[in-house]
Amino acid sequence: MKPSNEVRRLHPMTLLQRMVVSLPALGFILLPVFTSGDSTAWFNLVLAGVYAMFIIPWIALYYIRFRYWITPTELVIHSGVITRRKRNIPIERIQNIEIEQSPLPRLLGTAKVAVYTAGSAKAEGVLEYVGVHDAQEIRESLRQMQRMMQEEGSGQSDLQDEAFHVSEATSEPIFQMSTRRVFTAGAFHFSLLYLAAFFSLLQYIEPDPTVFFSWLLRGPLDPWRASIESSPWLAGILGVLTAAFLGWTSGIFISVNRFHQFRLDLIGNKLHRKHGLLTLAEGTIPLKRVQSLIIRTNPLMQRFDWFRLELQTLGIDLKESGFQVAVPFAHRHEIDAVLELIGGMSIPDQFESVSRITIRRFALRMSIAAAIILLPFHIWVADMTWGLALLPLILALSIARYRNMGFALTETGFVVRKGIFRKHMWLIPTEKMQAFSMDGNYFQRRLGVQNVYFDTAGASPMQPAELVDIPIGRAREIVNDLYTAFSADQLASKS
Amino acid sequence: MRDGVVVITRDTYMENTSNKSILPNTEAGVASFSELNKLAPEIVTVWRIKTGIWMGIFMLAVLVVDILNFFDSDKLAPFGVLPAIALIVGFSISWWIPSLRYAYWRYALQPTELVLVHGIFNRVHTVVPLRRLQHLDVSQDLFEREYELGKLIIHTAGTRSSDVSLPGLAMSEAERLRDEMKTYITDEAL
Repeated sequence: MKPSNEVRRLHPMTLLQRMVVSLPALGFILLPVFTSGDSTAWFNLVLAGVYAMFIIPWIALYYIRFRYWITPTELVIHSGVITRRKRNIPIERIQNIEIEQSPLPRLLGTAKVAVYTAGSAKAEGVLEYVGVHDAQEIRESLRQMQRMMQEEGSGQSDLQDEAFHVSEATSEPIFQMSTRRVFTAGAFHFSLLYLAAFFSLLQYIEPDPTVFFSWLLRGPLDPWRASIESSPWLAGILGVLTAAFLGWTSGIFISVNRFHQFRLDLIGNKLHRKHGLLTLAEGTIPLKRVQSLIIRTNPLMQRFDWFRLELQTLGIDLKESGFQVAVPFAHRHEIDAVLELIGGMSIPDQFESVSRITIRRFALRMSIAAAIILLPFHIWVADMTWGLALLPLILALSIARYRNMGFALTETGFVVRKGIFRKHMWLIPTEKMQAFSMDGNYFQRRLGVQNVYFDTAGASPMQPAELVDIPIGRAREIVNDLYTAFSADQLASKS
Repeated sequence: MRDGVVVITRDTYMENTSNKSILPNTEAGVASFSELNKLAPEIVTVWRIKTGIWMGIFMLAVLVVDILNFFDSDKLAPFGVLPAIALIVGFSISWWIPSLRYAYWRYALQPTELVLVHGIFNRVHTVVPLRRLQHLDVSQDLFEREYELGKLIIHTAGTRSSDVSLPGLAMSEAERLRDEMKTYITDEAL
């Protein structure tokens, strides 16, 4: 597609696609009609009729109203059924173009194109759906025009990204996952979340569990049923085992679906990522937009030397809340290799630890919290002396927390490591820091310790890379050193 | 257990935090705590009024409960005692806390950064590099307008410090700071 003012529409299959996608909702509305069949269900029939009356014209109108075209400077999208929206996205502001193909579009030969700019974490422009070839053409022509603009504009002709699908065949990926690796990743990705979602769905449909159960365990399995029904212990153990098994298999399934044939390429100064089994996803992460790097693991994964590398970015996929998985599951040396290739930061060999006062402070805080919860019960309800047995546990947790907390000042940035069960390590480049802050409450000041925090764009408020209980003098030195480096970097970038 | 840790009292802390090395400015030599700027003193009155309103609402709630329980036989205290306590506590909180807040608030606009030091219980020390500014707001609420005060809100791209606010500036000072700082807003890509 050349940058002509030729107005384009979505792929006609979008009509079919949207119809199919709206079917489950219809199914839900009609469900009482199918299951009960009694006279009270007529209301749902009416509802379904109304729904169909609105949704079909809406789909058609949406298709008719949706137009897009590429001018030499902008991507223009006109859309909207009731509220009309005309959106102009300047091509030079486009940061990332993602092409996604979920199962149905793959069957129909269509794809979704999402265009991201720096302004927001949400996609600024979404084309749902265009033909696969169109999608690639759109991306290619947008990229090409960006390149041309860059060359004309600032005279800097760093040929930063060769067309991806051209060089894909020739370049060696900097990381890729074999099927075996994907399965291993899934095995470590035990999750009951999907199970919970499944059961809440079941609750809506309300099948009779006893009927289903005796149907499942009919014939040769019947003795099992008898013994399960007679022994609550066996039933309990089997229940837990089933949940564990389902949690485990769903983890594997999710991992395979998401990371099948994962590959990460480094072309110019952009990372290209491609992965997925049912839903194919392709995306680009410009390295200069990476705000910090996060390496995650847990004690079990760490035992087998497995880590995950995420990149904290701005203005990219909301689903991953600004955290792009660059390496889903890899050994330490592989992570190191990727870090070296993308440049900037590496995992330091040695970490400095925070003040040991932190053990005492954390233990005290936990004990007070436990006492606040347990004391009222102890006084008014029942004897809670067993609560004292929590004390060693609290102490052990506090020591583990202290051992896992560390930091390192490197030439290019600051590294924070913490977490007992969910271990995080943040690699924060000095040049990406947004604000420098130190704080300490009354007790911390009495004990001569302080917290330091270096804010970055897109950092998670739930998991801040804050470092607590550093001796005051050391905290001041760290802030000083980093700020000096930051200022020097500023001077360097100016000249 | 306590190696390398010096117990520091409030006064030495103030002195230490104010010493030049903690204000990580290598170029301009500003820096002892006393050299940083104080807020406009009128802000104490504004804060007192605002806290006083909340405390007044609290006192009224206690009073209503007390009136509703007027005929209760086993009351916690005779009628009028609880509202009186609420009144005294509320008054002292809204009298003392604002003046303490004021005493610990300091700011300074330096050549390359804005430095803010504040907090009574939790003392926070923030350094916002001017090249990180995204945009600036000056706001003024009803009470601040009465005293011609303004609040400067500094937005960066960071998440926790995405909006750092500097209250209690004379309106003219707030506008002066804003005008001076806005020249630093660059469209440097993130």
